[in-house]
Amino acid sequence: MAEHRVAARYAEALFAVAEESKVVDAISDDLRSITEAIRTDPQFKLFLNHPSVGREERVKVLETVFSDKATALTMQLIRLLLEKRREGIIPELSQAFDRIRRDRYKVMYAEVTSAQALSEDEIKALEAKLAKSSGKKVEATYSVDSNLIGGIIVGIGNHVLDGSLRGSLDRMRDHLLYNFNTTN
Amino acid sequence: MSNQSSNEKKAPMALFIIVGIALMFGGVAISNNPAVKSAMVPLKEQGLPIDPGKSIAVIGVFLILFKVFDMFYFGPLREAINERNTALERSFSDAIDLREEIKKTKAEHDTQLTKIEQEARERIQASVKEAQDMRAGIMAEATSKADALVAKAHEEINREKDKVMVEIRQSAAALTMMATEKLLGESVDNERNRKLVAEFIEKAEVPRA
Repeated sequence: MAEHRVAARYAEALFAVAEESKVVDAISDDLRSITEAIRTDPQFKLFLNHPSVGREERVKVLETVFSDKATALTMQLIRLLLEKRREGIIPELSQAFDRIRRDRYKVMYAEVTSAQALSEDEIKALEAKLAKSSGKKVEATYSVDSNLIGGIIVGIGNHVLDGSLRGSLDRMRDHLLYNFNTTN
Repeated sequence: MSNQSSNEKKAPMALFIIVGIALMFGGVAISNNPAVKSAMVPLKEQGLPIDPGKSIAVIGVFLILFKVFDMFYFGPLREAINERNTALERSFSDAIDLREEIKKTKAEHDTQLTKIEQEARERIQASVKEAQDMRAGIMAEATSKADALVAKAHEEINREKDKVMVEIRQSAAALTMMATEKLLGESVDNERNRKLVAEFIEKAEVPRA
């Protein structure tokens, strides 16, 4: 909880500087890449958190890895986090930064899960429909889950638009059980 | 009382002895009197040798002997007989008293026994009544408990029945869902899926926050 608050403060400060430098999207992409690297590469995560690895060594390695991919502001942020021993909040910071960015630029984030991978046309049509319906720009992440059997689920904040066969089956099961129980 | 009678007895006894001695000495004196001897000669000649003096002396001796015997033999014997009679009478009296007392005690005992029997009967009746009340109470309690157990058993049976019914329904629903899912899995191809996605996109509306 304390880390969330710290990450939010860092994110707000970072967003202000990024907006001023007009590199908000680039910073967002950089943070997402680093977070993804931490999430998917256990060795990288171990290296970041290992107590025997010195701060300077970490800075050097991170600069080597990300200097040609990340913006200067991102690298400054990483150096600052390493100096303050706050490297553990990078994932939360990335999320908080994206929340601020979406809130400021009226961007709606959607998590789309489908039984089969969506085609480009389907993605465009979906994002266009969501944008039209919400009046906001749409950012979405896409994943495939064969358990859905067919159809699609869109998660927007606390809401879920369920157009999957799995969802229909679940609703049907609930309906059946409810009818069974109430007809007794 | 005893001393008085002893004194009363001593007077006649002394009188008897004095009279006896007087008669004895008087008789001897009469026997030795020549006038009397001569007066008795005719009777002696006729074959009747009577000596009045000796007879009087013998009477005196008898009087003295009678008293001596009476004092040393008849008196104690009489007293002993009297004492014995008195003792026997006392024994009889005691026996009668004892018998009366026994009768009285027996009567009291009988009365007491009757009373005790009455009390015992009353107690037995009270105990029997108490036992009957207790039995009735126990029976009522047992009946109540049995009824409660039966009711509880019915309740439990109904609960179990409901539970089983719910399980059966859940199983039926799960089996239905499994069958449906299998059928859907087999029937939903790429084209059908695209159609579902297209329908979803067409109907999708973002809820207002």
